Formats: sequence, structure tokens, C-alpha cells
Amino acid sequence: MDIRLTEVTKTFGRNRAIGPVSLEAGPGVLGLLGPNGAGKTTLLRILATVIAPTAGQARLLGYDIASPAGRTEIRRRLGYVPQECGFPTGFTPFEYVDYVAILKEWADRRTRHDEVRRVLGVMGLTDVAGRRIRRLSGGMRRRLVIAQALLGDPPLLVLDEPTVSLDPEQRLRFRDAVSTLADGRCVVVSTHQTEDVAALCPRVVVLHEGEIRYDGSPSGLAARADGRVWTAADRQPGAVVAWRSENGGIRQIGVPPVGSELVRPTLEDGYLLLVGGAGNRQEVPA
Amino acid sequence: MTIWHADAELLAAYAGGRLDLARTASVEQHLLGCGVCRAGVAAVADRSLLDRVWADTVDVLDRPPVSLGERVLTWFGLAAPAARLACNASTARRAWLAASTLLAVFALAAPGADDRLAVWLLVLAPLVPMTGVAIAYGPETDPMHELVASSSYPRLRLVLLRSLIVVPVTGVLLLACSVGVPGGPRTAVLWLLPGLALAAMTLALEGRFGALRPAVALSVGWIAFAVGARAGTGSVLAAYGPSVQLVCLAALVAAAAFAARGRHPSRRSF
Amino acid sequence: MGHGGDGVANSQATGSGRTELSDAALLAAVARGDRNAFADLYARHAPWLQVRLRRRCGDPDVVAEALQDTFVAVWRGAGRWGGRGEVPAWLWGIAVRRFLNVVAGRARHDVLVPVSDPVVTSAEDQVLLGLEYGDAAGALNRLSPQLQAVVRATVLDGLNTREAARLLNIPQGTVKTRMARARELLRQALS
Repeated sequence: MDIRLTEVTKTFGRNRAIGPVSLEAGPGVLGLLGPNGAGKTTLLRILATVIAPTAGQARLLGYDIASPAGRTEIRRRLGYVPQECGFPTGFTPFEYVDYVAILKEWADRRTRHDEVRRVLGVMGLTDVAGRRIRRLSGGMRRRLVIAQALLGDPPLLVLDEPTVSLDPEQRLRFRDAVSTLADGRCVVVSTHQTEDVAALCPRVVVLHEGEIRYDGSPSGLAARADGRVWTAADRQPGAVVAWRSENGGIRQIGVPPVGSELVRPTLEDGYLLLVGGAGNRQEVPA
Repeated sequence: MTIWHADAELLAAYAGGRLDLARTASVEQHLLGCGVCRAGVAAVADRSLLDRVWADTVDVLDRPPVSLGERVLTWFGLAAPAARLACNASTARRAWLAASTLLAVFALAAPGADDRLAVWLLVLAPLVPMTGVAIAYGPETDPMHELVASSSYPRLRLVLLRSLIVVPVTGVLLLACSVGVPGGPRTAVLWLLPGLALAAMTLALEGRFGALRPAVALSVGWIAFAVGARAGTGSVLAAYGPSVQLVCLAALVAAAAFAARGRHPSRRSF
Repeated sequence: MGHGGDGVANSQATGSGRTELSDAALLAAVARGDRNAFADLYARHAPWLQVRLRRRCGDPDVVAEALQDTFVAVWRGAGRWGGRGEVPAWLWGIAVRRFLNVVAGRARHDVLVPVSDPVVTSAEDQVLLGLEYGDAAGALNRLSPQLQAVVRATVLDGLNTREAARLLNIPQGTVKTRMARARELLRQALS
């Protein structure tokens, strides 16, 4: 098992961000879904060994997160894309990835630079490698942060909202890149975009208010909403969430009135049912 | 008239050096003007050499420029990657350098100015090395903190590398104060131990509390102490008496030893 | 597709469909920092430059170093090609001078001189190769190796007296005398 979390809790002061959370994961892509504030970032920061859990045990790649030696071993096999990441002023993409490579203990210059070139190539950034980062678009900067996570081909990849600020085409390319990467590797991707999860992850974990509400396949999550999704001309009582769908009409999730026009549930429907109104759909007011 | 191109045999003979001077000259002159034949020569070129040279060329072009600071450090024997870590100036560091320069300039200009003002230098100077260490690590000043925190590079070594700049800056400030402070070098050097002690304490406390909070607390504490000492005896130099120096020395040794033990896992962060 | 790009180690160096661009256009793109154009330029010109350099020096490391220096210089100086003359000639001008730098730094170097036994080429080839030297071709080939080296360095490779002297490791005066002698012999042969 690449990830083994046992009753992990994290509190900041009086605020309990997550927990208790127990999770086991092996090679493959795991999608972490949840609304803002659900604790996804906190959980991922624990996986990336940036913060320590307040309680519980965590073993990553067989190493114990609580011991300094274990943490070092984990970090040598880890690639992390944080949700927010800044760049040193005046750096070019090449210098940025090179800097991270030095932090990852690539001491020999030539092999390090060859590896930097490789990951920049994988993310399609070779052409802009010499340009200043501040001149790059948001999407390119995001790809740059993903590129540094690929240094050294780490067996564990932790990606926190990697597709935010990527346009749909880039998101598609990113999904392809991740599926190939997931071969033999454990990849944890957090997102609040259900389409990314549906397309990419054979396993979904829904986090809400710091707790795991669902852990299983995407189709299973969609099936949760079986018989609970319908469309109508107006919002109806019994609807927990309702929004305007593409073909007119209002798509609603909850307890359908008798005789409603039921529709086949999607992953998003299952997710929204689980998190109540905390999803990111533009709601139609009751 | 049909366009003439050299056949493979001729090009092979040329590449193999089996043509006389006149023919070699003709072929070479022809190649300068004919793209088709240039492509033909590619078939007899040394493919592995070409690949190797391409990789080497790209390597030269990609190499990031080496800053003056890095060159100085490598000249002193520091490994190039470590020098890189030591040298990139963040916005926080630039601000710190500016403030230190201001202080040094003020010290140099001080002899003409009011003595009381000049003495305040002695209060602020110890804060300079401490601040330099405080900004070397931590989410407050490092835009890449999340990545640094999740990397395997030894933490203490990283903080020390990034704090290296404190050494020359402290030296410069010391020199400037020797000029500006009444009492000259003998008085100016008094702030060195307190400065180093404050810096070491920041380093030691950083694992548990982060860099910013100890730095702020120590600054406030030190200024309060200096002000109090002055209020008590009428001179700021009371804050630098022998007992204070001894305490600072003890604190410096203790903090350094503590920091050198390695970081202990803290509840707050790694 | 004999563009010689397939062997080059780097995915973008295989000429991503830019093979229609002229050398001048490629060079302009390189001046703007276009790495793909640079890879295409390399794929087009590095092979013949390597072969031509190989005919000047037997040491492959020297050739490799000169070739690398050449293309680094091309990358950095692409903007300096003012559009005068042809790109290949400009490239050779850079390459031969980079070669000179590498070679002059070494104490001994063997500068290859073509053999005097000609390969038999067809009569048609001879005519169409535009051997304007005509009768001079024979005379050229009969020159001694030292004279041939000087002729090649100055006349064919475009070096001036000082550069030729550095390359051949002889004093400038010797270069001039040998050139004069070569010219004299050729004049005699043609008359």
C-alpha cells in the first residue's frame, strides 16, 4: 500500500480541519472531491509531509511520516503540486525547475539539467524555458508547477487542484498526461471539477467538512443518486440542489415529487447529493 | 538545362577524403549553394557525433546565468548547487539588504549628526543579523515554501545557506558602525554578540514557532531592554555591559547547540 | 526524407513540419528565440558542416567542439546575419573561425589535406560540377601539400592571412610567400 492513513486528524487551534480520516491507496489515480473548505488541501499537505497530523498515524510508501528519517525517504519519492505556489522574482522556467531539482538533491549539473529539460518537455514548456515566468500566462505557470513535480519520476504524486486556471483543451491534455503517469504510480488529485474525476479516476473519495463521505468508484457515486434526479420547469419542494440545465428546464436533486421526469444520474449528481448545497453550481433559488 | 546534383558515391568519396583538392573544392562550393546536396551529405555524416553535439549545445544554451554571489561562493569552495540555494534574492531579502544598507549609510553619516541618534544604531544593529536569518525560511517570506517544505534537502543546511549573506552584511555594518559610533570600533563591536545571539535564538526557535513570531518577539524584547537600560542609567551602553555579553554568549552557544541537534518534529509544521 | 533530422537527439529537432521555411526565415526565427527553428537549422546544416570540418582535421573531438561552438554562436548571433550573402556561406564563416579557435589552442594538430589520387568521376560529372578551374584543376592538384593547405585556407575557406597563419601554425610571412608561389605555379600552368 502506497498510502496508509489511520485515524488522521488535523486541528488548527480550535478548528478541526480534518478527521478522523482513514484511507488506504495503492498505485493508480485517486480523485479527491470536495467543496472549498472541506479539508482537501489540509489532507494533501499531510500527504506531502508539509504539515504533521495532530493525531493518527500515516505511512507513505512504507515509511512512517512521524520519523525524520521516514519523512526524508518519503520526500525523495514524492512529487507535489501545491494549490498556491509562488515563484522567485526574475526566474525563468528553467531556473525554477532547476532550483527545485537542487532541493531534491540532484547535485550533478549535467544530469540535473537533462532532467529539467525532460520534465519541461513533458509539459510542453520547452519553447518558453528561457522566458521570465512573470511574462507567462496563468495556464503556463500551472504547467510549470506540475513539471517540477515530475522531477525524478516519483512513485507518489500529490496534486492539489492542478487544473485550476487551465483552459478546457489544456485540461484534456493534462488528463492524458496523468493517465500515462499513473502507470505503476500512486497519484492523488484533488479537484472540485467533477468532469476531471469522472474522466480520470477509477477511485473517488469525497471529503466534506473534514470527513470522508464516500470512497469507491465513480459509477458507485453516480448510482447513489439513482431515482433522486429529475428535471422540471420550476424548482420543486424536496429539491436539495437545483440548477438550470443546458437544454432549458431545471435539474434538481433530492426527493422527487411523484410523477417527475427522472433522469439518469451523473457523478456530479451523486456528489452534490452528498455535499448538499455546497457544490459549485449556480443555484436556482427555492 | 537540368539541375545537377552530386550522387551518393561522389558525396561518400568527398566525405571519406578520397577526392583531390580541386574536386573537393568544387563539391564544397556546390554545397554552399545547393540544399538538396546538403541533405545528401547528411547521409554520410557522423550521426552519433551530431547527436552528441546537439545535446551539448542545448546544454550550454540552457545553462542559467551564474550570479556574482554564486561565483564568489564557489571561489571559496562551496559546491555550485549550494551556492545557488544561498544566492537567489527574494523580495524579502532585497528589502532586508536595503534596510541594512540604509542603516550602514546612516552610521557612516552619523559622526556629523547628533550623538544620541548615533547611539540608537547600537540598538538597531543587532536586529540586522537576526532578521536576515528570520527571512531565510518560512511561508511568510518564501514564495516557494510549500515546495521547500516537501523537499528532502536538509532543512538546517538550507537555512544556513540562505543565511550566509548575513555574514558579509554584518561585517559591513560593523565597519560602518566603527566609524559612526562615538567610541569607535571598541564600542561598535559590542553589538556583535547580542546580534549573533538573537540570530541563533531565532534559528533555534524557528522549528517550533516559525521564523516570524520569534523574530518579532525578540526584536520587541531587545528594544524594550535597551530602552529600559538607557532609561535606567542614561546611556544605551548599559545594555551592552559585560554581564549582558556573557548572557548573550551563553544564549548563542545554547541556541547553536540546540539548532544543530536537528529539527525535532513539531506539532505545527515540519 | 533525407533531412538528417531523425538522428538528432531531441524530439523537437526532427523538424516539425517547418521544412518549407527558407534558411533566412529559420534564422530570423532563431533570432527571436525559437528553439524549434534552431533545431531545424541544426538538422539542415550541422551534417555538412561536420563533414567539411572533418576534412580539415582528423580529431573528432576537435570537430565536435568546433561544431558546438559554432551553433552556440549561431544561437546567440542569429540577429547579426544582415541578409548579405547566403546563409550556408555565413555559417561556414562562423564554423571555420570557431574551428580555428579550437585548433589554435592545441599545440599540435593534424590538418588534413586531400589526397592527390583523384577518384574517377564521370566526364559528365566533371563538366557539370562546373570545374571552372579547367586546366588549373590538374595544376592545383600538383601543388605541394603545404601550398595546397594555404590555398584552401585562404581561397576556399575565406580566412585572411593572419587567420590562415594561426590555423596552419606558420608565420604570416610564410603564408604570403606560399600564396605567391602557388599563384605563380598556377599562372605558369595556365599559360
